Amino acid sequence: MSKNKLDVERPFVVDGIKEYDNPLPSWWLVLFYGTIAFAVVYLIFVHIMDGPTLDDELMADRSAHTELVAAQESQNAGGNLAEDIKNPELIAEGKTQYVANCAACHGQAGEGLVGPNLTDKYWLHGGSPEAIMQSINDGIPEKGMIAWKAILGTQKVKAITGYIVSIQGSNPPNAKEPQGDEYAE
Amino acid sequence: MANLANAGPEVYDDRAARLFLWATLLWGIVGMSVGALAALQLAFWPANGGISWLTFGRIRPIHTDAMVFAFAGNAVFAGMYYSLQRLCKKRLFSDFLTSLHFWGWQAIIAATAVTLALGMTQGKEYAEMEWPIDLAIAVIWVVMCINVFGTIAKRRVEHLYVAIWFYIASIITIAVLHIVNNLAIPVGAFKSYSIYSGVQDALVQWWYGHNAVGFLLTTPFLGIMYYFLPKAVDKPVYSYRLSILHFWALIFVYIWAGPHHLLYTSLPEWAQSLGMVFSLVLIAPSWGGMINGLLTMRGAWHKVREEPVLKFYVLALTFYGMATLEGPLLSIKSLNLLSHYTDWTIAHVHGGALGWLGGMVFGMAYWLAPKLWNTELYSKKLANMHFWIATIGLLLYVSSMWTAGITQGLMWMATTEEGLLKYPNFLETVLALIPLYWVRMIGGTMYLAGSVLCVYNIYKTAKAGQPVDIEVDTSNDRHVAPRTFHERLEGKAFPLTALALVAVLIGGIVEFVPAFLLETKVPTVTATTPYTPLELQGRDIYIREGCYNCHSQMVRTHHKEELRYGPHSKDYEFLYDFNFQWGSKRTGPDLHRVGKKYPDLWHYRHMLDPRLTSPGSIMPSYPWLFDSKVDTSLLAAKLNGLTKLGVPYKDSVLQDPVAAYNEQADVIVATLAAEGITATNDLEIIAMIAYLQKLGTERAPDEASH
Repeated sequence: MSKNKLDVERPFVVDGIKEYDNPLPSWWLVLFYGTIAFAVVYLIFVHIMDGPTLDDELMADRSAHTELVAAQESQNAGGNLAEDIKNPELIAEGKTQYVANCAACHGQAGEGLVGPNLTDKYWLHGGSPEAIMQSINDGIPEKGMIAWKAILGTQKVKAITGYIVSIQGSNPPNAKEPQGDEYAE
Repeated sequence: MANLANAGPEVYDDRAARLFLWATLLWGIVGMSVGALAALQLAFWPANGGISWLTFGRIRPIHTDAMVFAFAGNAVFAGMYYSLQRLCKKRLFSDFLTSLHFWGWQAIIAATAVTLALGMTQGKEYAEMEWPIDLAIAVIWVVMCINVFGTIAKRRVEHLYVAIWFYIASIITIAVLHIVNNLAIPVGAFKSYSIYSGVQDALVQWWYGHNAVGFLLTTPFLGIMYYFLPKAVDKPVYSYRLSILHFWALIFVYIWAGPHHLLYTSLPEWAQSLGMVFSLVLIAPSWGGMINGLLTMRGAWHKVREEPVLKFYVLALTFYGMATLEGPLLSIKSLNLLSHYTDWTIAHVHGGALGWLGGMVFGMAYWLAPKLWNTELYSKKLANMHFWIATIGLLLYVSSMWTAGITQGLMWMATTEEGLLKYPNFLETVLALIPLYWVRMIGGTMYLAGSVLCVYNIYKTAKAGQPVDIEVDTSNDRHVAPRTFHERLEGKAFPLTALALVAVLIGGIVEFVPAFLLETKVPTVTATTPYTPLELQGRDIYIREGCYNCHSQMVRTHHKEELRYGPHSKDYEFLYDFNFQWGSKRTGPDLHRVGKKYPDLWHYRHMLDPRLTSPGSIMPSYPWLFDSKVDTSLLAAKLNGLTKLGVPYKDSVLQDPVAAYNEQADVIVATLAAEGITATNDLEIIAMIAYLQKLGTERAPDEASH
């Protein structure tokens, strides 16, 4: 097994197959020992020296998110909801959001399907713009409607509220029978 | 052993190689066709024809198991039986055992395909077969081991060549993996529950899943490479010392890497970290094999131009090197966060399967056929054409799935300035991939077409020649007395086998023992309750339909996951999941927090036709759940089985499970009736709804669990 001679045949031959005993490529050895060194350093750093774990990262991301949402809410505070939602651009955006997220349960035109009809005067959880927005924001978990605020954000929920208010009395075909109490403006 | 004086007019048993080669090629066509159908269904969902046993969740396991056990498995046996005899200068130990092995294995594959189509499955990836088939696999594996070790024991050559080390390590490791992962309590002729649940089951399953790839699809093919490649190029193997180092490093390190399938999950993080760092250490040992192969071809590259055998070997080694770099990179936690559950994983396995495995198998087939039938290959031109069609198909397949995986991974993680998900609707991230699914389907079908050419070519070769069995001939062997420790070891099969076994057992033991000793703590403010009889039946339907092939049940420990699905999954939530259903691919969204998210009516409509609730969905419809009645004949046996495994069912439930079943089913029926849906309480859809509504509803808030 001389060290530096290339292509010296070994004395063993099996079924005609010969073997050299060439030295290992040095880059290969560097790669091998390098990954082993990394493994040791990583394990010691994360699991013995209390380096950042996945839980730590999650908690940090969560607090950053909470701060971001709080900052936006203080920015959006004030204003008149009933007036804001009459903006046609907002209603158009609301329709897009509605079709993408709400139509599966409330029907393409708000006629009601799994969820109630949104175009008649009867409301299960209040028909004022504020009440509608709150229902979308927080959801109705016991009936299977999820809280959309965390998914869509305040601005889109507001837009959807505007769209829903705009389709009041539109009498779409296949409307679901009224549910809840009558709401009068 | 080295007694050459006894060498009589003995011939090799090459019927074994001929049979297994045919089985490889024919099952390969079957497995790839099923894969092409599955691929078509992802691009065009109605392609299941509305037939339950042709639906994606049922046929995807048929495709994977066919490729692993039938295509690769039979190829290993063909290559191993052919080369082992020549490396031992001895006919196979027993003609009877060879026949038993062959026919037993084919019967196992056929039974697997039929039972999986019928929905009889354990729901564990690449170990879907139910317990009677698992027993048959164990028996046939022992038969094969006796045949192999019997041949080795009676060999006329003292020292064992490197190919045999790889064969030995492979067959003993697969035996250990198969037995440990499939331990289960049978509750019916084709129904059982794994003895492991939740986190422990996940750890065992992916120790199995990862190492089945390692020891059925990698190490035996390295053995095959060490025999067939130097033969085909007629050059010496580049480096014996590299063979030694990469062999021992590969089998020792491989075992540890299983948890890289479970990054960011509820598996304890120390185990995840072990999975990650050992995957990185695996790069060099894997590349050792590639280097030894490629450098063996030095001075023979001009032959590649004409010789299809060598073309396939170059393809195999190139993709072996690529896939064994890609795998470790995907094991890095932060990159895995992007790639996991996406088509990047699909690209990775097909790079390995179509490039490495396919290259080795077809290269071997074209080299072997002329020798097995004592003639020339029918058409080199056709074989070259096969190579180019396969290569282009493979590139289309892999590049479309890379693109799909990265696209979807980025879409899942994209957020807006307001800190919200940019694509909150999961479906949007699926529909973006449909054109790529068509490209994949075309690429895969091209690869299949190439394989058909191969079958035709081999068939014509076999017809033109005569099956011959070659006489044992030791004239081209040369031996000297062992000079080093390893050379001495190569002369002793038993110590070599024992050492290899120790090397592969260490990683598993170090990871399993602490994970099994740690008791899962359930926070006091919540309780993990067993599945009720109705939910359990629903869960068994979920497993039968193979829902886990497209849906995960694991919200990973990451904020973006929580934004999309809700609080990340905790270990204690899976205490009674015998077996776990975390999944490995999200063609549809994660389902762990789906419980109570939608009303019963939503699920009813969604299972009837997913497009009613999710316009554009590519999920198949499940109309058969709406007219099939739940088979409750096994219910009592199921509950008893689970009780034995430690699930705390109340006596009242155990005494009259049907009453508990009906009581809960009636509530769902009444809820649906209030919405104008008429259903009876014995329909499968009712059980399915009950199961889905239970999922992930028993998690304590984080404050309480910390």
